[in-house]
Amino acid sequence: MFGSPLKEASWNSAEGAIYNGATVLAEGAEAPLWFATSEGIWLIIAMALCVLALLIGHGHESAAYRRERDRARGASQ
Amino acid sequence: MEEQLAELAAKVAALEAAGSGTPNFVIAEVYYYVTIPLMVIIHAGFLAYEMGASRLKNVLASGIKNILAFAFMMPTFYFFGWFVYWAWTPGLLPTAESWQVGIDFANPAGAVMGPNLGDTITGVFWGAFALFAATTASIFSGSVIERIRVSSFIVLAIVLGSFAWVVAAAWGWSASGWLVTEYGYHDFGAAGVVHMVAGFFALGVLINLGPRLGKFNPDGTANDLSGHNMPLTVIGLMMIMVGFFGFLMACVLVPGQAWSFDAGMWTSIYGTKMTLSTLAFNILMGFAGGVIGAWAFTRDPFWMMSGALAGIISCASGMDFFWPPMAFAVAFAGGAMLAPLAKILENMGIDDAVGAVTVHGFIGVWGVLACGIFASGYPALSGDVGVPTISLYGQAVGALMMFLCGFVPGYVISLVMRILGILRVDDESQMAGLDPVKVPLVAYPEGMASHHTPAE
Repeated sequence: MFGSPLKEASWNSAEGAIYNGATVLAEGAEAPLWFATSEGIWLIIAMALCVLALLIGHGHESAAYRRERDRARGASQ
Repeated sequence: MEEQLAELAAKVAALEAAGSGTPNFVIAEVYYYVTIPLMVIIHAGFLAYEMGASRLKNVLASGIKNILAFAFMMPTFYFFGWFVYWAWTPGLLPTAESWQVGIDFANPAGAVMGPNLGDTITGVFWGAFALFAATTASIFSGSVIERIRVSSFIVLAIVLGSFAWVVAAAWGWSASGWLVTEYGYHDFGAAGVVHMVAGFFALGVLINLGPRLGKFNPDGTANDLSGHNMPLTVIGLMMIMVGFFGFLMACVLVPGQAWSFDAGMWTSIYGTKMTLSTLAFNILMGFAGGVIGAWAFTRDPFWMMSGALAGIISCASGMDFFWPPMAFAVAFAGGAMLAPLAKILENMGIDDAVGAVTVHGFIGVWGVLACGIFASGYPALSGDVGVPTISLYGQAVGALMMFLCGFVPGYVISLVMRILGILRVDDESQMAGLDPVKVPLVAYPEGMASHHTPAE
């Protein structure tokens, strides 16, 4: 899920993907499905955060308009 | 004297030797990297433009909406927008082959989309395209100010920026797009794929969203709902001009790279040969033509600066080979058309607060068609004799597709939102102003009085 993917504690032999949590397959191992890799899991988390933020924002907004509607109607009565 | 010349020659040789130490691919990457902050200036310009065009009671809400469009565009363009560009080239749906191209170049769960010593350019290209996406959202953002729900706006902006325009770009702004390979569609500076799509997406939404409260009288005549700060709007437009240089720089492919079309010559995104010199000529002549054309017929500073945008959009499709005085004339016509076209739209009951439909949609059509009228016969792709050539017919087909790519999703999704009652801010909140209703800050704490619509 995270941590260095480098084969050794040196940049001398570093090549290819160097991001933290990069999926490193053992020789001959079959690649897991995308959502079971650390890349896929973080992708799903990032997507979920966007959806969550949108839902929270929608809630805040709806509450604000409702408050104003109630205030305007109360003032007119 | 000879000694000094020899010394100078030695210095030049030393500098050349030092320069040769910088790999060519680094220069290519820096070239595109620089376009990203330049295009952020477009967004800053749209932010200023939109906030200035808002009335005092809505100014911060408009700014928040614009910034959120930018913020949501980045992750969503990472999640799927970039993939769509690579995978959607064959038509309405990708084929198995094009899907694999998407996986190879833009898999958001793959090593290509992260820090990778084996691929130093993908992120830079992605960043430039993400800023194109943000530009489409920003164009749309201004037209719907002061009455759209921000959460619904964000969803619409995502559809536009991370899907609708990307499909249009895959079709008409890629050397393998079907509009290019079958019809010779040419749209170097994205008059169609960015401006038309965004402008007509906005039109589709505006039909369902309706006008701002007080914009139209019961007899159908329109009221002027002037923004609170026209100088800010004019400065915003000028900032957009600065950003356009980055936008158009990013439409060019540098020579000599593994992914270049040509070993020694700059090309367009289609592989057709061009020079940066051409861009300098035609961006500036287009800018000037648009401003002067709009000024000559309106003398209104808003339309005059919008004329600058219209000028560049007018000659954007054929900017890579237009003769500069002709680019000026095409841009002049675009600038002159602005105000009458905006009036027609207003007479139809459409409240386009910043003229986005006119400037980007209608003038985008002019730009796409102008390329077919004035530049027919050029080969639309690199390669030997026999590749499709640019024609008015091909440009017209492209323009129709760009209209549909923008208008249909904008209209359909906003219609669903309207039916669900989540598209438009209710009248009470519009009347009070969006800032006092939902923004926990005051734009101008010194106590400037907000002004009211005629309906209030």
